[in-house]
Amino acid sequence: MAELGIGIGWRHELDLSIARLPGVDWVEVVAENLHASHLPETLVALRSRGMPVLPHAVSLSLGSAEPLDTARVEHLAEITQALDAPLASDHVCFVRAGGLDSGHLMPLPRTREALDVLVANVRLAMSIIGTEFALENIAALLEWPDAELTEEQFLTELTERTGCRLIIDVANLYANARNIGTDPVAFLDGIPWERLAYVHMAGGIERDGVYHDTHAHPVLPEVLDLLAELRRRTDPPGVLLERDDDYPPDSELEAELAALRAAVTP
Amino acid sequence: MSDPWGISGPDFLWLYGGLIVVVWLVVRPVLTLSARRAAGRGGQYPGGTPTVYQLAYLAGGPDRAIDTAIAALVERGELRVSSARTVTATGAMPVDPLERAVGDAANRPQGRTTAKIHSMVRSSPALRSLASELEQRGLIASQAGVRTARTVGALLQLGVLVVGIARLANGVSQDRAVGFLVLLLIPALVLATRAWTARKRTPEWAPTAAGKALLNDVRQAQLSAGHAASPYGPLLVGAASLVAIGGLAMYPDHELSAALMPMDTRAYGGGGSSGGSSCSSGSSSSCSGGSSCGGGSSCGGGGGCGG
Repeated sequence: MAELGIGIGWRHELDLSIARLPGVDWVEVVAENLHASHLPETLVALRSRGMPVLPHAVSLSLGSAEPLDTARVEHLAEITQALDAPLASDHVCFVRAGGLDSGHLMPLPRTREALDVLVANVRLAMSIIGTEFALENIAALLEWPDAELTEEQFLTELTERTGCRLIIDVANLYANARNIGTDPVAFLDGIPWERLAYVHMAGGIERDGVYHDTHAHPVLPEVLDLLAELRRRTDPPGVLLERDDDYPPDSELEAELAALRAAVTP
Repeated sequence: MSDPWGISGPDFLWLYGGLIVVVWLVVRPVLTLSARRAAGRGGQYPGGTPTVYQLAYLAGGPDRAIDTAIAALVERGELRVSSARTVTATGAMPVDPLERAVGDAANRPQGRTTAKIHSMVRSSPALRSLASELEQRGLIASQAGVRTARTVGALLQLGVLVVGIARLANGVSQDRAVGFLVLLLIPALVLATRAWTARKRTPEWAPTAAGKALLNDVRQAQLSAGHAASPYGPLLVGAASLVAIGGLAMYPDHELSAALMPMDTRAYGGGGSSGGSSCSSGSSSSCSGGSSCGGGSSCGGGGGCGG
């Protein structure tokens, strides 16, 4: 494995734990939670140890038909610069429509028209951010009708037309397979792996026949199997564990990180 | 006309003033002190090796016992410390009742500060039973004994007040000057009232002579290089024993120690001479928030935190 290695989503609640966890090569931070002028001391300490800290945005709403909120992009650019990060990212989704904020990452209709809108927004965002930029596949609980492209085709064309890279969230891929019946193997076969920035892994739970990507439970063995399936196609530059709630003891986080490392180590 | 009770007015004022002061400053303290010393006379401590929480309580009272439970849980990964100066439970269910009480107090998503955990656990049954174990072993003064001594002292102080009032009534009935006596009755009334209301307050923990001897032995064993061989060897392992004897400042990870110590060290009894506490006390004005105090150079952040 090259470049990043195994990482974990940096959260305020975990800051002293992360500094002490063995097997953390890098961290990802939610850009919206930070201010470039006063970054948390514990995060700065990780940077000064030489650990990569990559910003990840959740609010750019790059799939929105309405004009891009460039103030949000500029904030992401500031954070990226403050962290001296080589790469920033957001999701293939929209969070705002008609002036309303959904509070969720909403899936895009996979049409040519929606792709054109996304491509235009991503190009504008990339011109502001000035570093490499990556977009992540999301988990959808519903699909828009009349899709003209498969998800892997949609993502492939997005990278070709914008030069962006991809974050593949394996738990989201698993969620889509469980909840809306997408074929994860076809997805993995169709992804342009040379554009892969890194991989997201997270835990979830199945309730009433629906898989919930909670980020508050352990990573399922099925999701680890999918990561191994991905590994057969590419050696991912980085794998990141996302845990956002119900934080377990450090020993459990350490074991999850070790399991990720084992899954991508030949 | 002869003097009432055979004592002249000025003589009575001197005697009465003296009586107030002696009961206040001599009799009552001696009563309380002797109640504290009543148990554990002779420097013998029966009952074998204490637990780390008994030791902590002996060394620093209820808050120290709570801090020691926090340290044990942090070291075992059952509590997580963040730079926001909170501790949060990580889902374990400790068996020890004190640890359980601390774990329950910290069991919410945003965690709790150590100061808040002190106030929540101080009156817990776990801590009360810890105190009574130590009392039964004669290592700390019996709280009931101290309360009895205080009640006796309060009754004496009330008695002094009653004598003064009787003299006043007698003086008034005989048309004597009572102005100075009334002035003396004011402090007599205040002291009696205060003694009476304070008698129920929870007594401070007070190690007996036996308790102090035990503490001394454990401290000696901790200082000596080969403490593994001492009878206290098993007790002196890990962060909990360091915190039990020296407070949270002695938690072996300085960054965690700094995050665990209450912000205001003035409100915190002793043990505050390490780097951790000097950082947290001096920083409240210069740092933008709790999180910024964990790093820097003085608190062992950056390269020093052993990642």
